[in-house]
Amino acid sequence: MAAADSCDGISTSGGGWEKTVTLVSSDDARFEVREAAASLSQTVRRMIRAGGDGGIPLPKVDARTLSTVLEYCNKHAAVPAPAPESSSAEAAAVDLEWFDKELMHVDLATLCSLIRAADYLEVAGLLDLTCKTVADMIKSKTAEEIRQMFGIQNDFTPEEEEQLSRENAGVFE
Amino acid sequence: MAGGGGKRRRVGGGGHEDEEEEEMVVEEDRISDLPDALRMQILSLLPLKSAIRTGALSSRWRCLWEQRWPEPSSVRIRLPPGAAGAAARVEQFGLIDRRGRRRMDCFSLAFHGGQLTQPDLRRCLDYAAVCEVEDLHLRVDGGAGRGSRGGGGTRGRGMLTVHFPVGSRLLARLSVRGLNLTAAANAMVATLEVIHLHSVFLTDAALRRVVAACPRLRELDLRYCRRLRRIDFSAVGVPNLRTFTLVDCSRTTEVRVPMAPRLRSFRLSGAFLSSNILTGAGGSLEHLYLCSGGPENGLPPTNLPISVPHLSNLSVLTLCSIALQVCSGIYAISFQPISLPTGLYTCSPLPCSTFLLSQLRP
Repeated sequence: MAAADSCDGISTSGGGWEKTVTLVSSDDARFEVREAAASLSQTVRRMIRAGGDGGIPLPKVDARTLSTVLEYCNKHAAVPAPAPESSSAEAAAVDLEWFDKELMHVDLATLCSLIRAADYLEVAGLLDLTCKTVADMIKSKTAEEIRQMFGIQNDFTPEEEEQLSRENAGVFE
Repeated sequence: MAGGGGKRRRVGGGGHEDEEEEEMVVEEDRISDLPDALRMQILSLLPLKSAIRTGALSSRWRCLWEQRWPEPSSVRIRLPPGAAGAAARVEQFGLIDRRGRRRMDCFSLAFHGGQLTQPDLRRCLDYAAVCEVEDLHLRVDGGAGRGSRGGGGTRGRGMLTVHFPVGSRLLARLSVRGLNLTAAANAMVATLEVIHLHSVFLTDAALRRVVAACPRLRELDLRYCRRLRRIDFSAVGVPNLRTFTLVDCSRTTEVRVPMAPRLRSFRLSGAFLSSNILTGAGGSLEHLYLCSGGPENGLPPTNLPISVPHLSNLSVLTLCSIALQVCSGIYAISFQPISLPTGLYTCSPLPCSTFLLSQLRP
């Protein structure tokens, strides 16, 4: 799906069976995406409405991050309103959940890039998913464990540290 | 998928699966670099306790968690006594209405007897519940025991009632003072960890139902709950109870806790009673406080001192007052098994590090 150079902004391709748009990452990689998928991003949706030639520029997202975001969008826009038959709808939900879980198997740097990208592109579902992933990493860990995991420097003075532990005496039980 | 990931990754782009292990070593603090709004979004997905803990990470996280909900993230209503209370009531209830149904960390409501009606209280509790409050504190001062003379036995006339469970999906800490408490059977409040009841009128059965509803109950604090007679958790179990405090529940004669595998601290103040809690706790107890003061007419029989030999991990033992006069030789029974070699005042290589003994002699 990546690098469709000759694609112009909004076009119909492949026998007109589905509308696609071209997104351009900060490092000039071009991605041709179904409009339904790209529209999961409110930012892109607004830009599609505004129109324009030569692809939609997304200067705050690099190609690698964008490709993951689009992987998410493609999957989540794949089934246009599945028939509400309980069994298949349920199966689709389970499948999506599994997909999301797999997608979150990334290193921390990628995860942070994804959070920024999801926020900039306004992909609500992905922002929730990525933030939830980080929250789950933080939950039920001590401050020291969290610092180690994320490489956070403890810059408190001993006095501040003491004040903190007084304030939080009950919490750290 | 074009490259360009190099500048974002320590180890170059492509084939990232097999490099996951190495990536665990992070030298850049990318999480703290995220804009405040995004970090607050992460914090808003954490339980309150975990969120508070992030305040200790570094200066950039210090107070961020407090802002994770739109202001105000906690609601504290305190009605002053007398005429000022009525005005405050109007003002504070207006504040609730304006705030709307948004997540809330803490809801505390303190008022004086007669200032609020049962529907008022209901309304506050419903509000706290829809806001998915985690800490809920309810307190009635002066007139709490109205019609019940000094907090006596039965439900006071005019006392308002709280019905358990209160409804918040995320409730973790509950404290109630000066109210009636009723409890539904077969409730489940999987998040509730701390319960403090002070001058609360509840039956033995209601307490049992509350405890049964809270499998994660960690701390139970009962003070001046004078309607309780027999505290019996035999049928409900307290697998996670760590701290149990019982202060002046003057009608209580028995505490049955056959299994409290995680109990670390037991504090009893008031008349002695019959209990199997010390054997139930096995070796987990670290802090034991037994205080029987006050002019009781004839101490009820107690089996507590007999259980002391089971307390092998005890580090703090506090015994106070009258019991020591009556049960002469109690320290012979209690300390010898903790293997103090030469008596009370030596405590060098022992688990027992602190003694507080007052009024050894009358």
